[in-house]
Amino acid sequence: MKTRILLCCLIALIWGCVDKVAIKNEKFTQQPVVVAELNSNGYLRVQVSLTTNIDEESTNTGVDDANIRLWTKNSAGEDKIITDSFDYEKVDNAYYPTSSVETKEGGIYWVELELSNGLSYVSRQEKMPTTVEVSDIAYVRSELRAIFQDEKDEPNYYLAEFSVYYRDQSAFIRGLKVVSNDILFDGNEKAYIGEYTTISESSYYVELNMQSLSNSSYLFYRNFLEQEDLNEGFDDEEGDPGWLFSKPPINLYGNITEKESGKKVLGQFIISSISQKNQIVE
Amino acid sequence: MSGMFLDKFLALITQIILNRTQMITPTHTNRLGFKPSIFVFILLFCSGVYAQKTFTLSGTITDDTGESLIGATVYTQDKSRGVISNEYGFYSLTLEEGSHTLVISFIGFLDQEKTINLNSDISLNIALQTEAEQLNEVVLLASDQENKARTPLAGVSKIKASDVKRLPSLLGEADVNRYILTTPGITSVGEGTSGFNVRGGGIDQNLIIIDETPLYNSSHLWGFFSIINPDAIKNLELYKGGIPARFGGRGSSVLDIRLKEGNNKGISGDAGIGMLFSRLTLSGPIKKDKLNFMVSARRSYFDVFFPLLGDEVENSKVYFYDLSTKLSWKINPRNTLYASGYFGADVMKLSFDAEEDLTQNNNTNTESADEEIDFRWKNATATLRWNHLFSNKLFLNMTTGFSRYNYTLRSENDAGGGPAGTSGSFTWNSSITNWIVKPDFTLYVSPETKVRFGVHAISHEFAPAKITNTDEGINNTKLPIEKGLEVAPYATLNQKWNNFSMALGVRYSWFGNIGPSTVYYYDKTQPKASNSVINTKNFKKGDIIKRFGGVEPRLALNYKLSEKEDLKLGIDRNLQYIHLVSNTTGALPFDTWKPAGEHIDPLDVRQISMGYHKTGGIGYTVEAFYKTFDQLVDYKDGADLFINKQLETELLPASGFAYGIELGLTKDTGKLTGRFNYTFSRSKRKTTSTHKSENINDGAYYSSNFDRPHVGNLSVNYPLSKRLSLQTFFTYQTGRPITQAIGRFSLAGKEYIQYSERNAYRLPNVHRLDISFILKSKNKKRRTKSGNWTFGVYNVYGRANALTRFSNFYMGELRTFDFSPVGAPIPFISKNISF
Repeated sequence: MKTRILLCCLIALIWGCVDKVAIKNEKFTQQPVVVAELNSNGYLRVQVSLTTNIDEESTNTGVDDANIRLWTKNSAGEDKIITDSFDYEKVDNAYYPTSSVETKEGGIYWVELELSNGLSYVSRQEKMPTTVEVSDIAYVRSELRAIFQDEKDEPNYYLAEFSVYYRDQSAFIRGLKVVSNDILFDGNEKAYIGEYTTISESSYYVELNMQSLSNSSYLFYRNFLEQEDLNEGFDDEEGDPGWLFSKPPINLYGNITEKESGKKVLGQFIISSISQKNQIVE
Repeated sequence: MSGMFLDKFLALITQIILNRTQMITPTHTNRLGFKPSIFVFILLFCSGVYAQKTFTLSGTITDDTGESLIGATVYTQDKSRGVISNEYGFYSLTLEEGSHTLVISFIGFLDQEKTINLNSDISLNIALQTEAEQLNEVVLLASDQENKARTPLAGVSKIKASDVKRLPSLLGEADVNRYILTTPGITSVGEGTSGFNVRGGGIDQNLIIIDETPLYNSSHLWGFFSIINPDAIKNLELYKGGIPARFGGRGSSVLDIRLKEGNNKGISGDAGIGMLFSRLTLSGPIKKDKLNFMVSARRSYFDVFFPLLGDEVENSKVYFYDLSTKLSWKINPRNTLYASGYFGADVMKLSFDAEEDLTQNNNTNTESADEEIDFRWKNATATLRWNHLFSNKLFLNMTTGFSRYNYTLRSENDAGGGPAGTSGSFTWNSSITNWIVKPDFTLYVSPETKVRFGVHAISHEFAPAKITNTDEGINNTKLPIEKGLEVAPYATLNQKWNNFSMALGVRYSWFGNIGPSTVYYYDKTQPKASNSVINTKNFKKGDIIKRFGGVEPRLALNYKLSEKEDLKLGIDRNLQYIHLVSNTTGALPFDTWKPAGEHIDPLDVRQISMGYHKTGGIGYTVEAFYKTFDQLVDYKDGADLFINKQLETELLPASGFAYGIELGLTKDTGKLTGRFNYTFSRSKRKTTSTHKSENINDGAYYSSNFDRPHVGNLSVNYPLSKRLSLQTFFTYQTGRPITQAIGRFSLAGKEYIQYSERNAYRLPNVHRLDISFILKSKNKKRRTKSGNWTFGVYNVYGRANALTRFSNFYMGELRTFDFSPVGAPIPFISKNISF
């Protein structure tokens, strides 16, 4: 929104310009990318891949020989491995789906990985957040909203994934993702997070996947979605005067570090509690 | 009654300290009930003991309109002894009994000689006459006595409004900020961004004061123009180093702006019409020689043309204005009162009709909503100053001031426009408020010795956000107000010994972060995050949450190699108790200020600078500096600074250093005049978190956003005829550091970018040429007004100097763009008159 305001405010600055440029990237160093997802349904998947030079077209660099362990704390507070057995299945890059694991709200979880090059990585210990139940999905003033009761005083973080279909579910219209903290609706019984969208149908079918996130997962998603927006946000070369005030670009670092050096690696151990709601929205 | 007592008390102390015929005796000490302090002994040592009887000549120096002159010199004819006038035009010169011929001079004015028979204390006000034909195009040379009287400070630039006006500028509008950027040691992130960086310091490390009261946002139109109208300025001084002890609260520089007092003889003024805005300055007497006023106003008007740009923006308003005012009242020879104020605002009221697509999707829609966003930010200051002469040697300036910066974002719409997750109409207010009290005494011990002392007290109140919302799903939200109190007693001893002079200052600053507030305490084994809070504590109103303090020594030494050559050394430490928290390329009006407190320490900046200066027809300067920054505040990658109750979780402690050498060359004589300066400097930072994983670039040093190793500026002025003159300006600078795409990876079929370490790359080098011509109006006899046309071209050859670089994937292709705020030649014309 800020960018939008800034863009509009800079109407007068018609002398600005954008040039497409070629860049040199002599400082490229290959890095691992680790994205592990664990949710309250017991679903766990881990993707390990490597970055490639910006000039290389292929990004199919999945790593299929990593040793992975999922840890938790038992009731005595001791570290306990939940699973270290992953079935390998290659989808796009290397995926490690498992059969369902048992999780509980408030439980502490973390992952460890070892690659064949001897480097090992560990995520920060994350607490499984409390599930939030969505009471309604509404379309208000061009905004698709997930409405729910926010827990008071606790800092809460949400990711809403809307999948919009025609009313008869004959076809998918679009998907929307939005993340938010609860600063503006802490404890509100009709709290909502939403995304602007315009749909020409008078009614349609919405599948909502509502996730409560940990703080670090929320921060990761914010930056992750910002980078997606940057990719999808413009399709011409006119540029955007709002760039005058944009944030410097950042790497998608999260809560996983290299064990020995403590260096952050790209990716995140995302932990979330999921609730779902499907509804016809008028 | 108490005032009279204070007068007598201070006058008595003055007498005791100063009267060289009456050394302090045990009798005096006993009568006053205190023992002479070490400071008094230093004074006595410095001032020496004279057998001959002395008397004091004092008064004010003004120009022929009654405007006081800052830095005018009063010297004996043999140039052996003399003083300069202070910020209020006051001087005090103590000499031996007898006849003295004095020369009073000020650059641009005719020297005056006066023979004084000094057999008692004398009050003498002096009005200097302007040079008969003071050409704007020619900078007059400082006289020898002015050179002799110059302050022994390294890193001080005195800027004249006339110099600001001569520099070719964007749209022809003379601009203080742009001029400052042409001086050595100053850089910025780039064109169109707010603020400036002094010797490796952040933009929040500049104390910008207008008549002693601080300003928090120095730019109109997001950073393109200064908020100060040059027509209203009497004097500008930029302290980059050797900052006097009377200034404090910021780490790197002080920009001391003094507004004109105005004409106390008759009505006069300046006016101008430009492409972007018009301005008018008026001053005159309300009661001749007693009470006079100055009013200066500007207003932009490009929004007037919005209806011509189509329906989309016809109801929008984008403009700014500012108003500077001053009232000066000479109550009697011992008392003068100044009331001054500044008020400026930027207004962006944007209306969109219902047909506009508010989504990021390509779908067409008929349900989009009307929207109106009203965003405005304002600076306001009010200053009341009382000049009082306790005696002809003890001068007081008592300042009380108020400063407020606030912004309001209001959305009265169907569609909303708030932060992620919000909708509906809302209003968002934020403000910074300061109250200042500063009694500042100057004791003129002798022509060689001056002592300045006082106390600087400032209260801070930061109200980060108050949001009111009509939507039932969104709370009315108010982030806690943060308060701080800063108190700093200070003293400076200025001493001259033949060719050697010194300003030895000390400032002790105390800062308290004051409740009410809720403080979060974090698990120290983990990085600070909202989920690592282990305890909270509520502080009541008036509770001191955390206190800081420190001694800030300031030393400036000057050794005169000759009448025109100086060696200078400056050493200073500056503590800064408030931080600007921003992670955008250019500072924004809604950036947050954060006081030092439980989790954020005060910034500690130490600097040593030394230089060689030579004045004359061709003058040159060489100045080198080294500076360290401790307890800087930097932001985490991807920090969420927007409405954050626990801002400390997004910040990292940092330290840094800067060093550089500044070379300057000026030619002030002949038809061709100009300035050239070149600065080589580096500015590096590193984060110092105890949690290694959150340090930027793994804790290694990285270049600051404004680290530009090479900066060269050249300005040349040449009179083409009696009426027409040419001004040119050329700059060449190393491109600023950036973070850049270096790799890519894929997740779930989508591609993402791997970036370099922070600021590992640089944008292309920056260069630009500006040209302007000033055509003066024809001189006609008995004509009481003068004027000129200014026209030219900014960015003559249309260089697109990049400010930011972004990459994205589009159709599988990685594309990279450079954005330049100004990418084309911009012609301009303006008409200026004085009357």
